[in-house]
Amino acid sequence: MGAIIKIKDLNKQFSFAKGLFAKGITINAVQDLTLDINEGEILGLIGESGSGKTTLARTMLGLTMASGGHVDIDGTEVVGASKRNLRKVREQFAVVFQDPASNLNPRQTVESSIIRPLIIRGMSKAEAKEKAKVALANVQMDLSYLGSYPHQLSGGQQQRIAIARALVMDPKVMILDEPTSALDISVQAQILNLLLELQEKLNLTYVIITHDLNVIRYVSDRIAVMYMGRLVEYGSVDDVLEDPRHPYTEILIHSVPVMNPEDRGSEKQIFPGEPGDVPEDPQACRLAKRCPYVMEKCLHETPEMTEIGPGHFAECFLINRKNARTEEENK
Amino acid sequence: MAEELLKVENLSIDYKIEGGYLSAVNDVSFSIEPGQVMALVGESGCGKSTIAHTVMRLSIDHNEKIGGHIYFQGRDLLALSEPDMEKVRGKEIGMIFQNPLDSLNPVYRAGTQVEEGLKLDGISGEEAKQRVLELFKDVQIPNPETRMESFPHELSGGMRQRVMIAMMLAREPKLLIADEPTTALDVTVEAQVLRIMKDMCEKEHAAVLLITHNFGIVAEIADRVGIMYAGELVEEGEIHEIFRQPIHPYSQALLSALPRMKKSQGRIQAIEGNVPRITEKEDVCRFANRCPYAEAICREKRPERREVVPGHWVCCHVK
Repeated sequence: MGAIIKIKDLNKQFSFAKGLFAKGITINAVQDLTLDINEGEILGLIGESGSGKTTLARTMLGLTMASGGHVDIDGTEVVGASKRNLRKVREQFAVVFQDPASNLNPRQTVESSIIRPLIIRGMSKAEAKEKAKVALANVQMDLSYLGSYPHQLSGGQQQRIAIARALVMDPKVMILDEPTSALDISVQAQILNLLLELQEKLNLTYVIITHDLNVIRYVSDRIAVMYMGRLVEYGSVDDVLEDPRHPYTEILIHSVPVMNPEDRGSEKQIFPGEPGDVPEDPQACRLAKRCPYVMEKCLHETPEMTEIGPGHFAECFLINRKNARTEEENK
Repeated sequence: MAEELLKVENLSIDYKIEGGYLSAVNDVSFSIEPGQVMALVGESGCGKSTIAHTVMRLSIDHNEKIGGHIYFQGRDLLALSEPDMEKVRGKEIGMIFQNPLDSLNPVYRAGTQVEEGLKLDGISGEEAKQRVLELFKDVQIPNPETRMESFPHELSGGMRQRVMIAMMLAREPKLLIADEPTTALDVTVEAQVLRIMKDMCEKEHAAVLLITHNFGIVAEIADRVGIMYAGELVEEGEIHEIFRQPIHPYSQALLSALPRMKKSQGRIQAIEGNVPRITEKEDVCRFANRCPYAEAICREKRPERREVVPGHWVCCHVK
């Protein structure tokens, strides 16, 4: 199973002109991003506000034009692609958004919502209707729902329909942007398990974007951590969560509330600052103002992505700080 | 045994809807001691937020039927006149919401808004400004002198929530009601705000009624937790007890539905079905039709609240 998506040095900037006499602002929404996404895997993309994870997804789909770099989807280049090629690429993807309501047109029945994109692609109505039935069965919903309108469905049911609609297009890759954030815990469990089953059954590739570490730990094969537009660490679930090497990953893991009161520690470290507290110098490491390990060097240079172990990478000057500390302790 | 600060007794709240009433809260009883952090947790429509608003007598739509009592320091808040309730609201009992922008006036500077509260307690002028500065430092707002002059829209979500906490603590309430206080915040900011809330409440010996759907923050800061389902309090107890040994089938199901591990370690358990909307109050267990242990009696009689172990209450026929 090779890489189905190859992202290289991807950049996306947003510029805002402030006014006639004031300097405009440029935001590096995605910066120097290089990552492969493998066929058949579930990649969890985690980050807080401003991390760039949604911009990355949109740029990958060609919904937002990249400022530079490459995105190769199964042999087709997305950045700067012709309309025809973009369409070809988008046919390989399906997207499910957070807000179940925004996935569905309130004026269309469930069946209409599902078959419409197929008919636009040239499928016959009869064939499309058959596909819709299969899709509904796949998301474990009764066929009687085909005639329902979105407002008649619960949040969980709406999300299932959104997934059915995504599946019916036979995508290679599903991008799910906060697929369960708006759902109750018990409904979230249903949807997450459904997504896992479908992925196994249909050998799909998922990119799941979320801020929820617990969800990402549960569903992902690999995790990619983003901070202020940069990919700061990636690797297998075990590597990233059990041996985090980027200070931001450490901060994130420590900040997530414990799921068990027994794990409540009076020693819990609370990290200062907020996403958005970045140093003035654009060359500096984005985390410098919040990093517990910050050195002088960090204030002037951005570290490069460095290999820690097979498949495990992080960009930090002090990747081996733990090893250094352990050596000290073991002396 | 410390005197209860808040004692909710047989509280029921029905909302008027087309064609009748919706039973949003049904016969709920619990109490909070001074300095205690009590969490009310549950999914959408369980009634936890309704209870929070009703304690403050912040009516959600002015068309409710309310039964039962809410005793605060011995006085039934539901029996108070509005002027008397106004003295309680904000002063004895403070409240912070999910979205601070809902409570912060956009045209007044942050410091001024906190000062307004102090004025009500007879503190003004230079003394008030000093107090505001102290409070801003307590809630760890960096550059507090500058931030006092900021307008709400100039502050980040985390900062706004700290201003809310400062505003609330300025009045030195005995009880803080926090309704989903960190849901809208990034997780690294959430950790900060929770720590501040917990520390400040300990320092001021203020009790907290924490309303949330997030078990993580409950595990992090609560002393006691009450689990609500479809308007009823199905289980209540000390935090370690409840996490270690949830008794009510819904509590067990909810805890099993939390993603706490990797998929390779096992699947989380979903609960089939949906939460009911109760428009006709029946003498049944509201969870019966989704409960794996339901028996005949569950559909015939509403279970009573039993103390299974001192301090641990459950409403269930079977368990």
